[in-house]
Amino acid sequence: MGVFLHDLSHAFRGLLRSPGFTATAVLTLALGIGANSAIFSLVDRMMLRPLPLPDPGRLMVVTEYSGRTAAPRDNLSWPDFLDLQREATQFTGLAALRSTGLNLTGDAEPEQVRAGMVTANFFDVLQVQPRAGRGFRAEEGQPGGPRAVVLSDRLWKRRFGADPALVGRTIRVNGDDTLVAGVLAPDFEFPYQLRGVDLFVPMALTPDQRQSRGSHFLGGVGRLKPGATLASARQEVAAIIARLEKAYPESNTNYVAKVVPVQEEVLRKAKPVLWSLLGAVGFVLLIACANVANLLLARSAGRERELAIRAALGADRRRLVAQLLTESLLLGLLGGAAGLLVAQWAAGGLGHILPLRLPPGGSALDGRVLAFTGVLSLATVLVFGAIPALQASRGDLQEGLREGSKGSASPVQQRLRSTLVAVEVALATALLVGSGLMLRSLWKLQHVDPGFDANGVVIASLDLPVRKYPGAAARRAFSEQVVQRLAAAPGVQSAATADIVPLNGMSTTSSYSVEGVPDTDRPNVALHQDVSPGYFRTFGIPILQGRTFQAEDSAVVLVSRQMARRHWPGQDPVGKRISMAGDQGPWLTVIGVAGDVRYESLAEEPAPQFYLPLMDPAATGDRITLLSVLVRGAAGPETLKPVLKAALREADPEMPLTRVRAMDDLLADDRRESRARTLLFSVFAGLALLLAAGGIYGVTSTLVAQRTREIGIRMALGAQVRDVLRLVVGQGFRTIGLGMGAGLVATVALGRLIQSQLMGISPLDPPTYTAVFAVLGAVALAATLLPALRAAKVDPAVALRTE
Amino acid sequence: MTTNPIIRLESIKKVFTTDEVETHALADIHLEIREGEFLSIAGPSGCGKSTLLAILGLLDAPSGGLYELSGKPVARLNLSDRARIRNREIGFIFQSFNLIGDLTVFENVELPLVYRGMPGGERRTRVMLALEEVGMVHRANHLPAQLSGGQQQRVAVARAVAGRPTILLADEPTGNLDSTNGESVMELLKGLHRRGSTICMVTHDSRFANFADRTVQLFDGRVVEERQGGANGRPASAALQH
Repeated sequence: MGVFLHDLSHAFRGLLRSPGFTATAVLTLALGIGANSAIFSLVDRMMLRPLPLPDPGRLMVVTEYSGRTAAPRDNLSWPDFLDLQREATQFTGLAALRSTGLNLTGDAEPEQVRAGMVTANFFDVLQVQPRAGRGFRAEEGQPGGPRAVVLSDRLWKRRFGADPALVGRTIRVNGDDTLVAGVLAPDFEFPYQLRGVDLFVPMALTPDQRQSRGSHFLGGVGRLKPGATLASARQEVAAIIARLEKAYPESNTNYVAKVVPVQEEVLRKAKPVLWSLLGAVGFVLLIACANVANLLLARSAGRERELAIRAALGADRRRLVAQLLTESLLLGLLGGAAGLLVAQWAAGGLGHILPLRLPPGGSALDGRVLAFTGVLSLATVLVFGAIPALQASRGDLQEGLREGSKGSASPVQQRLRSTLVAVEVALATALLVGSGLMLRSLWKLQHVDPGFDANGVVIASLDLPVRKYPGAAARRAFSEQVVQRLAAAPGVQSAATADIVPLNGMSTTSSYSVEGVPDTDRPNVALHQDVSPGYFRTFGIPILQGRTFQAEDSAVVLVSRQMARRHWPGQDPVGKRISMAGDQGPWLTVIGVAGDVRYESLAEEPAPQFYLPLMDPAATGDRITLLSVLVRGAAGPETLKPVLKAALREADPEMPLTRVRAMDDLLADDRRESRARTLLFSVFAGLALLLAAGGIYGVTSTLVAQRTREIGIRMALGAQVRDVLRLVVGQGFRTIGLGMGAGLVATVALGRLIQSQLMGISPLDPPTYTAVFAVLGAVALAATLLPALRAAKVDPAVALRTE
Repeated sequence: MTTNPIIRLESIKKVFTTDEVETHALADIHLEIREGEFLSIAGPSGCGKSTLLAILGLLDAPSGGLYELSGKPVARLNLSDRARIRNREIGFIFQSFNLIGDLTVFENVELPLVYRGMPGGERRTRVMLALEEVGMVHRANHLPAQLSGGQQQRVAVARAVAGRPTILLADEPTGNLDSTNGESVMELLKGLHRRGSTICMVTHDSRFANFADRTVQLFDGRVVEERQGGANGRPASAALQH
């Protein structure tokens, strides 16, 4: 302990006496450690902590998806859910759920809140009890059963002032008096399809929704029974889905079972992003370590004599290594402490930059992040401190003790330092390529054609209460009334309605049959939308063949180009027929072909899609309760929004108007994640470039300082400035070239890891590689040229005397 | 003076190999240093004095031969054991003082005792005694850079004796000092010798070699002459001339 304290005290004074070295090393480490801690705090909150639910590992998403769709969409139909619920034995219970919007009226301003429609056993399956009141009773889930609602703690506090007497009273939900059955605990969150939901109501479906086996719109969740395993549950659910496929080929052909832990499912999209970010900051930390190791090597070269004296006085190699590591430990701890400040600052911003939905509660930097930072700092010390310590402790004792010992790096140390720089350059190359690929990808995303013209379009998302608008006719009348009012409003070019719109977080897929084609042979699932006649004009979606809908149309369908190509390549699709109720009809006749639309995300290729007249009794009829109202005008969104709101208020004064947005905002939202990821990668790559440039500069400077005499001799023998520049820059570029080569190999190998985050470009995109090599080359040239210019100014007479 | 040999070298040789060229720095050295003896090693530059002292101080290992320190063979010890013996049995005094600039005078003298794992209280006593012995107590909290060359060498002597080593090895201890300071340091060594210290000193200054009881003359890595009573004493016995 005495020796350790002695080392610590000496190390502390040594760092104080070298403020430049200390500041550079601590800042470098702080950036590396801080970036890692910040990203780790995200990874920890999103991926590593179990869901705040009882025994979350046994909660499974239980669903099905069409194995033939381009982008699998996994939702259950109601009849399929009922069959699963009845037949599955591996679960204590299966619950169905879907997100929706519900209108809250009453004393306060009408508002639309995000709601979860769940089967009555939902809270039982989750094993969650509301903090006040109860969950749902079986009869509350039955058609015509009593109305009940369970509130989130957030909504209870925000809208109802945390009224302790609210449970047992009624509130107005979608125009109905509804019993408040319970209020959930503050930390309750169910992230699968229902993240951020403020209101839960029992599943209420239209008769059409209850009967249609081909309409997949429900999430499923189940809790494994004691003794059941993921494998046994998968096997059982697969067998049930396979049986349903045989029993109902017209709707269930090609559907595949899916059973995955809820936590895995909710992280499916975020995981690659988080891993790649963690990888990127890991690279930054390694570069920082290499830089600090380089600084320590340069410093230890100047301390050769001191170490030799210590060895002569009886310090063995282990002691010397321990002493040097103590110094590194101190640096690491200082770097870690400063890193925490960086992380604190960065973690706050990350939550806003990255559109990841963080679980509630807990500060960004808690004990776990502190522990991670501590361990990371110690690991960092080992990485950057061990090599210089081992190297320095290996010095030649006699040489070190000799009078006039120069304290310059040995050839081995010089090679080591060059190797470290090559490693830095390799890591920086990999990061720059990653960032470059993402930049190019983002550029493509900014310029991708969504298939519609969002400019000047404003959208309102509504939920039509079934009680107020009990049938398709009433809802259709409301829709027509709103469109008529809007069409007559000043500044409006066109208006339309649809059940849902692209990029709004919701989609419906339906299975269908094509006339004359056996179901088993062809893919038969596509996105579908119900739209009013003005939809294509309002949204700027081109009609490529045939015509658009007219008011009196029924039993007709418009298909997208993708869908037309899928089923009728080289033929005229107009006049062909499809059915949503099996291969016996009733049939819907294709009247036109619309352009392809990127529906769920701009990054995803357009999927086959078909359009039906809004609330057509011959097709989806009674099923639609969600309504999006679209309006296009030349005046811009801010002028159109009040016009749209006024028209809706005239049509229904109780209708909440909280979800009115410009379509351009939805596009920006869709690009937000890509932009944020690119921004972060670019920041990390910039940091890596900066650190690598510092490393190159440092090593080249040392090299020049050590070769002053040699350069002097060369100049005395007639070397010109350009010869000296060539000598120094050439030597620097040998190291840099090696690093870039290694980085290239690493990047090609790592390319697959970020492939899923790229859009429209290959991980081997030549322009990106060219640009990265140009940037890195220019920076490296600058970093070597400065010391080289200094070398070229060497006075031969002075240089020859320096020995 | 007692007759117990503290150091015994038999047929010691040292060969440096660089780029397949062998350089024989020491050849067939036989030497004994007895307890309480003051031995001086003299010779021209490059004759192998410092190499011999490095081997004696376990800073380097011989290429062949036998080296016994306090009756135990030490020529083939591993690095860790050599460091331990250096710490406990050998006190070094270098030409260029070799004090650590970041440490105070006190801390420099304390350093070998720290490596020995000695408790703090005992260390302090030993350090103060050693500093008192060289007359540097009043400078205990100074840094080496704040001292003159002579004072720095006194501190180096204090550091060498603080651990009460078996032998003091001094490599040109006056080489970096002016004549007044040089003599002062030699008086210090002489005093230590009088009080019982065994000293082996490398010097090429015949004035200071005379301080020794016995002088060994090296030439081209071999002992060519041995005299009692310093550099001007009588020649070495024939038995020692190989």
